[in-house]
Amino acid sequence: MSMASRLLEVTDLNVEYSSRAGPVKALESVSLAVGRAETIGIVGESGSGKSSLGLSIMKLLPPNIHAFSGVVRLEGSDLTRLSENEFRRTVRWKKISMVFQGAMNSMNPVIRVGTQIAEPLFFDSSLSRHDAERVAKRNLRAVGLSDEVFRRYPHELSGGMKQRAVIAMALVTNPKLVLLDEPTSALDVSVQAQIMNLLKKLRTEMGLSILFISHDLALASELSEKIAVMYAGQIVEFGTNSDVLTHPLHPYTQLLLASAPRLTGGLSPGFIPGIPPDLVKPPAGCRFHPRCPYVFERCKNEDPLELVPDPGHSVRCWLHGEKE
Amino acid sequence: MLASWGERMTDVLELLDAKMSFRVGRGFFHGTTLTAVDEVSMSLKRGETLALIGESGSGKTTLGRLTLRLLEPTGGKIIFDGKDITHVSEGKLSWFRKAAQTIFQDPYSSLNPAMSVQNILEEPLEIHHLNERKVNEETIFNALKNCGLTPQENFLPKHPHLLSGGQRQRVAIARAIILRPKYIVADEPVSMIDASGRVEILDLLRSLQVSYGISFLYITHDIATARYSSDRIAVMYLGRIVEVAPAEELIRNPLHPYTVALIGAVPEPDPSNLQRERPSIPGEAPIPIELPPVCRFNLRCPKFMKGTCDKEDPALEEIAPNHFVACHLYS
Ligand SMILES: Nc1ncnc2c1ncn2[C@@H]1O[C@H](COP(=O)(O)OP(=O)(O)OP(=O)(O)O)[C@@H](O)[C@H]1O
Ligand SMILES: Nc1ncnc2c1ncn2[C@@H]1O[C@H](COP(=O)(O)OP(=O)(O)OP(=O)(O)O)[C@@H](O)[C@H]1O
Ligand code: SF4
Ligand SMILES: [Mg+2]
Ligand SMILES: [Mg+2]
Repeated sequence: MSMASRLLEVTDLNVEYSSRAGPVKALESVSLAVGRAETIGIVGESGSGKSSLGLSIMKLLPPNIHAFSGVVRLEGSDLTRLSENEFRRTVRWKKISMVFQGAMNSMNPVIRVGTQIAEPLFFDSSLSRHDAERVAKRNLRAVGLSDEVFRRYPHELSGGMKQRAVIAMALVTNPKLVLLDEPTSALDVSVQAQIMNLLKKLRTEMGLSILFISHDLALASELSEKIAVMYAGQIVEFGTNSDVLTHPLHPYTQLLLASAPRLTGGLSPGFIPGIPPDLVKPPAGCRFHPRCPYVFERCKNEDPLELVPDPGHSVRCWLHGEKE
Repeated sequence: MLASWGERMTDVLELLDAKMSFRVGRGFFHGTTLTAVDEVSMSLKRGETLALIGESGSGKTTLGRLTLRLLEPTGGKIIFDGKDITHVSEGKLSWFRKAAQTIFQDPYSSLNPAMSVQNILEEPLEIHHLNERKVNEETIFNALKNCGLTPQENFLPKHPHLLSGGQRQRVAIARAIILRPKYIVADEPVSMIDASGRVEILDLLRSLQVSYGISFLYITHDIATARYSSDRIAVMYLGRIVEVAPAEELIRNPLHPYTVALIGAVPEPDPSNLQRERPSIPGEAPIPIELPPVCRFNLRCPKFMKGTCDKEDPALEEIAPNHFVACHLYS
């Protein structure tokens, strides 16, 4: 990707939370670039660090941060150097917005849906209240809801309608990048399919860049041109949608693909043995080595480097390393 | 009909036109009736797993609770092991409480955080006055072993918060099997467990089904796991079972337009999906209040036939061997 087409660039991001048991290494040297009008899927199990990545970009990490380092650039300028005030004035909800995990269930119950959608616009002094409402209604229509929903309260909406409303909320300021954290995981497949089709449509119409966070690789692959697979706070594989789905390189990705029951194909998926790692004391060497069927000596001692066996397809796994 | 009599003998559970209505609404709407399960008939064979799939609000949990007599039906009959338990009072259901167990969705809230694994597993034995210490110890040890929680002595003193999600669900399963039940309702037992651990839990349920001949009602949103873990699949829509068939048959040859749509909506890891819209059913299911006696799916159905689907309520009929569907396209 050329420099000019890069919208967001995350470089060597490290995040640790403090906890009673010690610092939790939630993100470890995570680097990622998102192009204009590009969708990147962030896939991984619970606790792999997906939300932490999204919240880092939004500068909304919880207060118990033990350590933070790394650079987040938007159109070339380093966001980590902006003060909270500047960031709020120029970036958050303006250029980058986010649909938080579980957002549809944490809408304010006593404020009308329309007011909640228009809220980010009220901060913008150049818009009258009337104009803000007009824009909000236009956004409601764009996500497939009628104007009449504007006056309703969240409890008067179905799950699918609430999810559309929080998407409208994230898009109302016409951002360049939107981070969607598990936007459909609480929905039925049929409603999920409607929301995914909606996102495909909006992305094209608005030229949006999307970071689509999900624990479901199949779901992420419906929308994402590229996929980053996370394990224990690291991106362990990155490639195009078809690279990752049809030639997964990391044993974790391979097992993840093989372990999900499907409607087609054989009946006997496997599973990933063992339990997810403790991020206070992550395993030495490759984070995945205690669960990996191909583990060998080097995996136990040396943290795999990011290797690029095929152009544009990278992996952190010694199986793809050069022979010593 | 000797054959069908023989089949009936092996049913552990039978519902006959079971119905569950709730009074809902306040003020002006006071007295409105919501019918969550509407005249459902079904049966479950000994050692069989029947998956119950359908959208949120279709009545799956209510049906499961009816079969456990946690709810008293407002119509129809519930037969368990040949005995009519439809309106039997709680005091006379003790034998049934032992024979029928449940596993819930959330392994975090379904286990008492103040109790150790040992206490959690002792509790059902105590409730049913099984007080022989030596025997109980052995029973608990075996249950833990059968659920893959070994070495047992490591788990016995632990409290749930020290266990992973998958391990907690195993404890919940151990609790469910400890009284050697005949029937277990597993309501979304893996939906809160990571994809990589799901199959392990489903395999465990399957192995218990086989080794103890336990019958399962497996309630889920996830058709793919239903295919993986059950013998037959029943599809529920707005309080009715609209299709039932052997699992593979239902997925390969779905007949009801709702089943067809549900299956079409499941994402598959196929790179070409990037360029495609996913098939989806328009709209969402209404709330089951005062539904007219017509096909419940007619307003969303791509195969809607005017004059039929909006006039008559289709009955569940056997279209092919063991394949039942309630749809005017086939009657
Ligand atoms: N505020 C916090 N304090 C301490 N630890 C935290 C905090 N927030 C997250 N963690 C830990 O950091 C790690 C990464 O969490 P994160 O929420 O980013 O994962 P995730 O991939 O989004 O998981 P999920 O799929 O469950 O949403 C986990 O081990 C989690 O327990
Ligand atoms: N005690 C109750 N009083 C009133 N209505 C109820 C009660 N229990 C369930 N319902 C209603 O009955 C319908 C079926 O609910 P049920 O919980 O059985 O659905 P479900 O298929 O299990 O959904 P989910 O997939 O969301 O768990 C819903 O409309 C629900 O709101
Ligand atoms: S580096 Fe080694 S342990 Fe890690 S995934 Fe590759 S083979 Fe497995
Ligand atoms: Mg998260
Ligand atoms: Mg339910």
